[in-house]
Amino acid sequence: MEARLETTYYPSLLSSTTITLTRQYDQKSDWNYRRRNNNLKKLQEIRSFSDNWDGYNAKPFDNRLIQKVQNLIKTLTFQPELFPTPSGAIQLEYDSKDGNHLEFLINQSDDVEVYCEIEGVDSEHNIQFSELEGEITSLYDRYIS
Amino acid sequence: MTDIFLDDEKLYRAVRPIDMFWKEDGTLSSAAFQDSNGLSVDRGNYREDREAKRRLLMNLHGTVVMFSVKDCNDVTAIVKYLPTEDNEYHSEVHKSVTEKKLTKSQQRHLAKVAKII
Repeated sequence: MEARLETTYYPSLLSSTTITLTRQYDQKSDWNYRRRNNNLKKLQEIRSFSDNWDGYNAKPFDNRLIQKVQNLIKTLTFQPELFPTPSGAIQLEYDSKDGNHLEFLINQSDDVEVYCEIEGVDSEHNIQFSELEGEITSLYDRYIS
Repeated sequence: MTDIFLDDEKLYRAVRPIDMFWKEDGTLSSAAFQDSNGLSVDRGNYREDREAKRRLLMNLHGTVVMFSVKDCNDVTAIVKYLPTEDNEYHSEVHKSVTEKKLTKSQQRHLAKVAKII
């Protein structure tokens, strides 16, 4: 898939602009692909955590949670950074260059905790796991990309 | 040791596994500070950073980060002195007097201000 700029009057400009935009798209796509693979590797590592993995008595992760997050990661167009939490949940994070920040806390229940810092103002709300992919896309488009 | 904490007292926590909680931009994820049982820390009791780190790493591994009691007060988190048999410096940071788990906003603030020592 390529990002293209159409023009009739400046064919030389068109060719150089098209190449630049295509390169930018490829770089972002490569970056997402690498991050996706890193996230999947990290999940495998988290799956192998044993008792007291953080040194403060955290418990091992439930396999069903790992599987649930793994399936989500495979479907996401924009890959987050992914972290385990000592309370047994998985946290996904996005940061924009201008300081906006999104967190999605996924645990074994159907509830997902969403935390946003947008232009310095923070807010929290809960959604269902089934709504998560749409919520990520919507918030990412508005505040991160 | 008294159970009173002044603003300038330092609190220390080991972050491990080492490569799990650091973001691509080098900052610490708030996920490192999300513990349902309250955030365990070692109080500094005005020791040198090096000594506090040495003592903490006797029982734990990982990267040691530090923030102050004032950093906790700034987001109305409560610091409680809860020494154990093994660790006279053990303390916990709680959301409030009655609830242990820090809010997302509190976790995020502490992750932002924490410094590696």
